[in-house]
This record gives sequence, structure tokens and C-alpha cells, in this order.
Amino acid sequence: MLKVDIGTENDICVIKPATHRLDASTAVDFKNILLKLIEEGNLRLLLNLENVDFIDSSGLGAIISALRQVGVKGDIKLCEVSEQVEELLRLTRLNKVLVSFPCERDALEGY
Amino acid sequence: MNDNNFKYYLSVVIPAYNEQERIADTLYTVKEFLDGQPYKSEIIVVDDGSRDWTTEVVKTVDIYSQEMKDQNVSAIMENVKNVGKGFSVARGMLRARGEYVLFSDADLSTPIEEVNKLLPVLEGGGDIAIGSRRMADSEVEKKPFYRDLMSFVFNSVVGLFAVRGIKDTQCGFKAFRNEVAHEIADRQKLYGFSFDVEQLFLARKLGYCIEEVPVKWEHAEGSKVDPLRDSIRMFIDVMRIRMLHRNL
Repeated sequence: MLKVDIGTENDICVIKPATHRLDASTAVDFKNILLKLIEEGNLRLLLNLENVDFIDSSGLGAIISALRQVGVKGDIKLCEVSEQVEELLRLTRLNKVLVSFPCERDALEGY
Repeated sequence: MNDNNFKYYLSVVIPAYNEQERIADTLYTVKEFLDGQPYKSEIIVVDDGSRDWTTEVVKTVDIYSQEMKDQNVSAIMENVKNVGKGFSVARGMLRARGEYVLFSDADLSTPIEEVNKLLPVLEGGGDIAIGSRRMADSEVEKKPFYRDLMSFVFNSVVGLFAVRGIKDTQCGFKAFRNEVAHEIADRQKLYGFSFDVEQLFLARKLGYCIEEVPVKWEHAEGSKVDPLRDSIRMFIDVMRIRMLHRNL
């Protein structure tokens, strides 16, 4: 089971997965965690990906599913993304819908 | 549209090799276009053993399009190693379940909307409709000189040794009736860039009707063709085509 740190600040739910990889081996767990949090009413999510060195289509798929779930009532933003994550976001053009911040503090202030 | 057993009206086959930089834009564009059409369609991306993020980008764009726009998912086929564009196109054509099969280059040098000029030819009973950059009504952005020269010389050689009477064999935008696509892809033996010529050679030999259609074409940077190495290879291949199918 994927471990994540979850905290809340100013109505923003901060989720920090404790894994180096968000791929097929962890994406389903991650998606379920995100969807459960949204179901509980957390519609403003901040994903702190400090620990994540690698993401693939499964990992991004989990985030996209959550993005659909929050809909227009909420949003998902990212912070502390690695170069690889940033590159895949750029190549897929998802950087236009998933705003990322260099650090958690900036993200919370700029959300 | 005919009333038959085809699952889709149109299959779009896109071969891709190390296309991570533009495949997302290509897929978003093609999906958006197909989504606006009155018919059902499928996209088949054949990744020719890319060593970059092409496959992951295709899969991610699919997830995004499905989740956020309720669009169909593309089929992605991965060659276990880099075999060649011809192999990838043939593989995609054999997989196609549409009544008509379009093969389009991943760079969309010919915009996807141009398929609306090719489909009426097939609906009217034609077997193959090929995009052409060398007809009076073609709208072609100026190509780099070396590509223009290569194209002219190559088409002349093709006319002399393989397929006569076709002005442009190399435009990466061709549409086939499904049965024609399957039969030709099944018989195809060349896997490199000269596969277009072989496909047209086979079509002629099998008695299929080929119609050239003037299309728009814009030069896209990032061509995978090596002007010297691939030109030599293509000339040799063109010479081999008759030999390869001498029993046909």
C-alpha cells in the first residue's frame, strides 16, 4: 500500500506520496487515495512530489482522474516536481492545466 | 456511408519514431478533428521502437482525452525495436478496423482536415486516394532546396523503374479502402522509407484504382530522413521492387 503524508493548510489539502515512483505499481493506490480525499470534500489539492523521481502515464493518469473528479469546483496544483516529471508534463502539454510551483510555501501562497 | 460490418468509418494510422516533441500536439489535433466528424473513427499509433518518451506521451494524451473530453482512446502498438516506417505503417494498416484507412505522418505536414478531400474519392468507388504536392491545385509551402531536389529526382526514378504516371509517391497522407489496405500491407516487403512506392506498385499490379488528390502541405522541421544515406537506400529499394514481386 502506497504511503502518503496528508495535511491541510488554509483549506488546501497537501498530499505528499512517500515513493520514488508513480508508475503502474503505485498509480492505482495513489488514484484511490486522491479520489477518497475528493469524495470527503477536499476540492483544493496540492500534490507535493518532492519524493517522486519518476512518473509515467499511469502516474499522470491518476492525477488526471482526480482532476476530472474535482471538476470546476476545485483544482489540483503541484509543487517540488523533479526534472523528469516536469519534462513529461511539458511533452504531454499537461503543464498548461497542472500548474506547478518550485516549493510548497510558494504553492500555498499562490494557490 | 455504407451499411456494413466495419466497426469504424475511418482508421487513422500514425507511425511514430522518437516523436516525443510533437506527438502530443498531433494527437490533440487529430482527436479534436475526428471528434467533430459525424462518423466513428479510431486512431492507431505505431511506435517504431522509440528511445524517447513517445509511448508514454501517447498513453497520457489518451488518458487526458478520455477523462476530460470523453474521446476515444487510441490504440498504441509498440515495435520491440526500430524496424522502419514502412513496417509500422503496414502493421497499423493490418490492425485497422475502419471502412477507410488513412495513413498520416506524425508531423501533420498535411493537415488532418485534408482527409475530407480524399474520402469522397473512396466513397465514389476509388480504391486508393493519395495526397499530392505536385498538382496544379496543391498548396505547398516552399520546401528546403535539398528536399525539393531529392523529391524531384526520386519521383523521376520511381516513374522510370516502378510506378508510372504518379506525380508524388512520397506524400505521407494516403487513404485506402480497408480491404485494399489489408491486401497491400500483407504483401508489403519493404520496411524503410520507400514503402510508399512498393504499396503503389502493388496496387497497380493488383488492379486497384489510384487517384492523386491535391492537398495542402507545410514543411515541418525534424524530418527523420537522412538526405544521403536514406536517398541511396531508397534508390536501391526502388530497383528491387520489381524483383521482390516478380511472381505477381
